[in-house]
Amino acid sequence: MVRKKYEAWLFLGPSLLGLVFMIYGPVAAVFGLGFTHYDVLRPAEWAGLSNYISIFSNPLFWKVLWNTVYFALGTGVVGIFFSLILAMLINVDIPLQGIFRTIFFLPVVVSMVAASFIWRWMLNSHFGVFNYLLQTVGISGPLWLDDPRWTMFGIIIMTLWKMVGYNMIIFLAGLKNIPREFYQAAQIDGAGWSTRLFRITLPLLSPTTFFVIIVSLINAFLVFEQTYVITNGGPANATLTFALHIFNNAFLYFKMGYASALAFLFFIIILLVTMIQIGLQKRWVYYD
Amino acid sequence: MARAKSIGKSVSFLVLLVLAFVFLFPFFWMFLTTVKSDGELFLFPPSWVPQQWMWSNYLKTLQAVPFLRFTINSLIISVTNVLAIFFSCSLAAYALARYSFRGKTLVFNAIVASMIIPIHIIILPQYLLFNSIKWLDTFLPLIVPSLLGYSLGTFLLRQFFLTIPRDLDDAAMMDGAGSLKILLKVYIPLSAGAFITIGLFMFVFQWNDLLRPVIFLSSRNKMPLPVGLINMMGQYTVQFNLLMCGALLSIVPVMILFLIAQRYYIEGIAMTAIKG
Repeated sequence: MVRKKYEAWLFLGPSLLGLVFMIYGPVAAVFGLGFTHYDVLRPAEWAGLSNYISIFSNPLFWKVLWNTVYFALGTGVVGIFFSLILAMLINVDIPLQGIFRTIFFLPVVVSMVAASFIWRWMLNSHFGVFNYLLQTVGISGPLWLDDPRWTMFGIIIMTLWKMVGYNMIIFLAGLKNIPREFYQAAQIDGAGWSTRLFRITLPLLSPTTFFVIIVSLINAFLVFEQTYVITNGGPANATLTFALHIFNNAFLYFKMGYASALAFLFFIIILLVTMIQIGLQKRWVYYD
Repeated sequence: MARAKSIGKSVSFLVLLVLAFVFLFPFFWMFLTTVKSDGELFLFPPSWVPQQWMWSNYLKTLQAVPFLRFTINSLIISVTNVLAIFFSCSLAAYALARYSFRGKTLVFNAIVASMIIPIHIIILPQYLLFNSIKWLDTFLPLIVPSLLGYSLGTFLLRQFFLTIPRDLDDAAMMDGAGSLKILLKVYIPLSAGAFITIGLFMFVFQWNDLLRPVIFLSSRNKMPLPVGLINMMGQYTVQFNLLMCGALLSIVPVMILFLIAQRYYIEGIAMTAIKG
C-alpha cells in the first residue's frame, strides 16, 4: 500500500519536538552557557574561556575526576568479572536456576535511594552490621563512611550489589546464543574446560562483553544518587563524583555557566571513552 | 566424565546458594531494622532477633511524613509517563517502520544517537527552560518530555513493527481502514509484549528516579517517593528504623510488579543488548 508522506511527519512530530527541545537543543545550550556567567537571577554575561580556565586550575576538579575514574574502574572491572562468573554459574543446568536469577536481579529494580538507605545503615562506622560481620571473621573493618580512604570503596561494594544482576542478565542472553554443537564438538575432540572457556565461550561472547563494558562504564561515570544520598560527596570530598559536582554547582550554588562548562566537559569525556572502546573493539571482539 | 560434571554442578549450586544469601542479606537487614526500637538500633554487636517487635514503627513512618501523598505522586508520575511514551513512541515507531520519506535515515540516526546523551548533562538547560515557562514545581517537566518521545522505546517498537507482515496492512486497507486505524487495530495489538516491556521499563525508571524530581520539584506535597525519602532523611537522620520503614514501603510495589512481570522485564534487557 502507498502511504502519504505528510502523515509520517505528523506522527514523528512529538518526537521531533522532543529531540529539538529536550535533547539536542539542551546539548547546544550547555555548550553555549559554558562560555557565560549566569546565576538565573541576572542575565547571562559573556565569560569567554574563564569557566574552563578556572575548572582546570581548581584542584577539586582533578580530585572529582579521579574519584569518578576510581569508582568507574572499581565497579566496572570487578562488576564485569563478577557478573560473567554469576552468569556462567547459573547457565549450568542446576535446580532453582530461575530463583537464583531473580534473587541476583532483585537489587536492580529497587530504587537507588532505598538501596542507599540500606547501605548507609549497614556501613555505619559504629553500629553497622557490615563491620560486625567482618569482625566475626576476624577482620576489624574501617570507619567506612567517616574515613575518606574507605568511603568510595564502600560505595563501590554497594553499587556492585545493586548492579551486578543487570550485567548478569545480558551475559546470560549472550551465553544462550552460543550454539551447543560447538561444545559437543569440542568434547568429542577431548577439549578440557579451560579450552572450552578460552576457545569457545569467551570469543563467542565478546560482542556481549563489549556491550556490557561500554554500558557499565558510561553508567559508572554518571554515578550520582549513591554519592548524593550516602555521603553527599564527603567526607573531605572523597566521594564527590562528576555528576554530583555538576549538580552542586548548578542547583546549590547556581553557578549555571560554570556547571554548564563542567557538564560539557563531562559529555566530551564520556564520548571519548566510548570512542576509544569502539576503536579498540576490532582487536578483541569477534563477530561471526 | 559424567561424574566430574555432576561434581561441577554441585559446586556451582553451593556457590550460588551462598551468594544468594549474601544478595538477600541487605533486604533481610532492612526488614529487621524496621521492627527494632530506637534503643535497640544502637546495640553493638547488633541483635538478630528484636527484643520487642515494634510494628508501630510503620505507623509512625506514615505519620512522620506525608508518605501516602508521596506514594500517590509516584503513582501519578509513573503511570502518566507510561501512557505518554505509548503515545509518542508508537506514532514515531510506526512512521519509521512503515513510511518512506526523505530524511528518514537522519531522523532514525538522531533518535538512536540521542540514547547515549545522559540526562545529567542536558538537565541543566531543561531546568532553565522549565523555569522560564513557569513549569517548575509542577508535574509538567516530569511528564511532558515523555509525550515528546523516548528514544529507547521508539527504537524497540520500530524493530518490533518491522517484523509484522505488510500483508496485514493491505488486508486492513482493503477493509477501508486508514493509516492511524491500522496502527491502532493491527500494530499495537500485535506488539502487546513489546509495549509491556517498554511500559515496565518506564514505570520502574520513573518510580525510582531521583535526579529529575529533586531538581524540578520543591514543595513537599508534590514529591514522589525517592525525593520524599531524602526529605525524611533530613528530619530523621539517625532513626534508621523509621528510614528503613520508608525505604521498604517504597520498594514493595515495584518489587511485586517485577515478580509478576519479570519475564518481560528481563527479556527486554536482553533485547536491548542484542539489538542495540
